[in-house]
Amino acid sequence: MQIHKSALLALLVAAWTPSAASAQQPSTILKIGDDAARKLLNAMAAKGNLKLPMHAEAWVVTATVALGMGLEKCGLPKPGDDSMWTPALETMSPDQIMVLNRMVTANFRKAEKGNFVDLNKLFPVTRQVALSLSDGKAKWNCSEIAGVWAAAANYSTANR
Amino acid sequence: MEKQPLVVHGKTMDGNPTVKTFLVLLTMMAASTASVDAQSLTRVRESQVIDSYTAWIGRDDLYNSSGSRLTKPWQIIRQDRANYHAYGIRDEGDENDSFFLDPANRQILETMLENGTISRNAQQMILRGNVWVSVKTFGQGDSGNYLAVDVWR
Repeated sequence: MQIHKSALLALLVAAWTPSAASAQQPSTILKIGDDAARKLLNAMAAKGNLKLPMHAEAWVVTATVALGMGLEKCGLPKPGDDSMWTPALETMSPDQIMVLNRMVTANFRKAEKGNFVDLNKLFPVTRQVALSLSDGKAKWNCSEIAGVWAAAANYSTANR
Repeated sequence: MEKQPLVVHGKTMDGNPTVKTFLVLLTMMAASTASVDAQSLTRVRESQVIDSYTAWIGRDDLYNSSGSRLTKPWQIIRQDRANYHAYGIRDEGDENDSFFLDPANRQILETMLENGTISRNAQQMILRGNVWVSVKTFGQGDSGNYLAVDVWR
């Protein structure tokens, strides 16, 4: 699965759809399986309706991995602001974002061994994000990761 | 190359706050929450993360081995680790840890949580169950001092 940059840029033109927002959502993004996670990430990337709680949470997971690997593996410069999280503020509080960020980070670090990440030890949603931003082995796709950063920056600029 | 944290606010994975993380923290968090981190800032000079794990708090973790409903967050966290290490009762996604493999360390979990950081909301969520917990054990060497607990429903 790939979260294409063009799809992520759809975050900029997200449309608010009340009927979709009120639809039943799984209770926790960290408990959903791989198939559901893949569909959710695709939907988030394609529609980018971050007023949907699960989409906002999917963004936080995506941004967490993209930020960490962007800094560590791709040598991207540290963002000068908190724009990476701005899209999720549509629905989530800063505290919620921070907790989910820490949960995903702790799980990710536990699965890391040197340059290798044991995908089987990740939350399914994190695993799907990792697969989408890498070749599925040990090589991160810096172009895709940079696309996530760009989507966040564009979103923050457009909603400033 | 120096390893960068995945976390951009709060603390780095080794528990060390950074200038950057606190700048972000200051812009994003309420004063009450920031004060909690300010307290832990003092402690991290003495302690470091010596172990960590993530676990699902399921129904089996809400009851002790006698079948009584547990009523304190520390009891539930301890039961989860007892279920994992001693009874082989494991929820999908439960991670291993070394520190609470030792029954003596499970016995001091209450004190470690009293000395640690956990929000009131997180405590309520643990009591209800069906949540993820992320537990970081701070200490020196094999000796644990306090816990930092995050909860996600």
